[in-house]
Amino acid sequence: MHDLFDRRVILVTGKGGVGRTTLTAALARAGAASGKRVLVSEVEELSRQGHCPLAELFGVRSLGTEPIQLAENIQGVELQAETGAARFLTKLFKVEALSRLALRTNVLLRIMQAGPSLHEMGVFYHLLHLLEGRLENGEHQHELILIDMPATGHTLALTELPQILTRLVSRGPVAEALRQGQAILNNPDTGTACVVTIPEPLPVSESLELIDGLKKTDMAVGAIIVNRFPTLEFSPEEAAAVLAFDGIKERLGFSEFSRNQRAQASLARLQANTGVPIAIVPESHTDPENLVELLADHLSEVQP
Amino acid sequence: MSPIEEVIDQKKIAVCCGAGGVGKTTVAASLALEAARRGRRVLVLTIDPSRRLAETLGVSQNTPDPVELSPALQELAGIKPPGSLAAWILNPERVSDRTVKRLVPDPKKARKLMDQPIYRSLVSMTVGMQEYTAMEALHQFVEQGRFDFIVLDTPPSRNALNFLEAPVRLGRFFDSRVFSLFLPRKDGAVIGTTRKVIDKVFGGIFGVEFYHDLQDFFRNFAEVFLQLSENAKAIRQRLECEDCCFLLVASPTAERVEDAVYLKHRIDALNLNLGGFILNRSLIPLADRSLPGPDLLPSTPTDAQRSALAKLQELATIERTRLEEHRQILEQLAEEAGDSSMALAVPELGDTVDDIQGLGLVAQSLIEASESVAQRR
Repeated sequence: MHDLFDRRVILVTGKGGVGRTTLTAALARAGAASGKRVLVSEVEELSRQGHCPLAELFGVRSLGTEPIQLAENIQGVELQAETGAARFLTKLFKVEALSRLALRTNVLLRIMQAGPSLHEMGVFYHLLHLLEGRLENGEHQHELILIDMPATGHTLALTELPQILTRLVSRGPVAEALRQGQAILNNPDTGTACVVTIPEPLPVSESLELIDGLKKTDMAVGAIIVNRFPTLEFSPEEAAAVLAFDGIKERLGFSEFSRNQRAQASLARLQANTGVPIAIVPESHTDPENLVELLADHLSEVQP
Repeated sequence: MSPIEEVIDQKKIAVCCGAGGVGKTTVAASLALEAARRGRRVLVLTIDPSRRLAETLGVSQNTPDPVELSPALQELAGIKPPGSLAAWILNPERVSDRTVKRLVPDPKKARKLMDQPIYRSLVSMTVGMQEYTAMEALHQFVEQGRFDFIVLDTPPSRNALNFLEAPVRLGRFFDSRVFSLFLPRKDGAVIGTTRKVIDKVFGGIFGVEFYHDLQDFFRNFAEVFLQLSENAKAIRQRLECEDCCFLLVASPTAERVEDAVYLKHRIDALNLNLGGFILNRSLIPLADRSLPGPDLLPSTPTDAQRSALAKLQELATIERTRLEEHRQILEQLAEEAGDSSMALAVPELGDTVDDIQGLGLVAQSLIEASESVAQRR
């Protein structure tokens, strides 16, 4: 797990409700503890109202388009299409006035709101801009960028973007930016995805499909994190004994027992079908703030 | 008649919304199945169903049109004429191609449009496009009148109502003066300053060659996009009618419940009808179960049996605590729902939930929960 933090960018991805945001925060803390300057980020969503769970995990209300300090060695930012477009134009036209004019005509904004991929393109460029940032001494300003990816589909939209767009636009500044981003994202030494899931059949199926999809977009998968793993273990004899109890299906505790069994089977399925290091995060009943610390501790202990 | 039966028996359109991973696709399918069993002609429009659910609904292949359950599957599902169940996976590519063919009557012209590289790239995108196609698909089948009841599953995004707005945003762009700036200029037209800037900016960004392709694409598709936007507006209005309702699906975690409550307020603000909340995967239906005790053990239990019971008892305690939490969540949702709608709990059904039998169980528990809500009133 340690070498996970030697990458430049980690996409933390997984379907809703698996604890992805909490784990992004935990990974950030673990990365910072290993000495990296970490930037955590989330992708803006259109018309969501002032609620930012990632920021809240660090005791801050919301994140802005410029990185802010969240903890020692951890900064936070919101990746925004509009900001990305503005950065892109400023760099492209150098003449500040022209890019401001271009933005002011509202044309770009309208298009970005309308076109499905242009939004991703803006986000992509904002990310690239942050990856390229340097300190005065020439070191990367953000050594490790973690992105809390909204939904599995959005992850693929972002990772497949360079392939789709460079096919259409093979030359020019857009293509160049996409290739620069690709060089970081699609190199397993610098870019990787971290798939968060819970040990249930459907989430695991979806994770397996996601891993397939990521491979198709040349995105490496560096780790799978199985969250909320039941702590109580039944030996095969005990499990058989439970199932043999008369009328057990109508008792309290059986539902949890079934979940427990599904968790074991789901983990075995992930192990058999992926060949990716798997970290297990046990279910715990602590409050959210402690949870972040607890997960960070746990993750730094796990070896690939 | 209990509130959920009113939805199943009388509504024309039901939209299942919720954050990703709460099981809304399963809920949508179970409502559709139950309505078909009760004799209605039903279509369920689903997005990204699990493989098992796709098999259950007979749509494991991406088909160009909705597919009715085979007679064998209908029989297995307990559907008898006049009831019927058809399903379609909302694949952006399929929906878009179907739409272009419908809106452009000349097949040659339609083919030419669909062969454009920009079009093909757009429709092959996995995300974002779903938001644009869900409303159009709904519009097409509502217009057709082939079905009594259409159940729509919505794209997985944190702002689950984005699909209502996206096509309208698209229309706003094509309808605007902004758009006319993109069209290749007519001969002899005066070229304004804004126009020059835009040409320079876009030529600079995309390269002149692609910018021209883009202009071509916009020009060719302007009509189609405008029509899409008109359709989206029409269906948007249709959704405000009494016979349409939104069901908000949540799983029993604080975060998901917060999402559902947020969606409820959005639905109110958008003048849409809330059918109710559905709390999926809850332990509430298990409340009558008794704790596992020594009575389960035979007179001379083995070590494994003894330790198995001890562990079960530990799990039962956890289960009871959770059950209590779920109850509080349901109460909170019921309060949000008020008297005009409902909050119903569905049990966790594990991995068999997407079989015909599992879908039947979901429907059954919805009806039972709904009946007890009706009794309490």
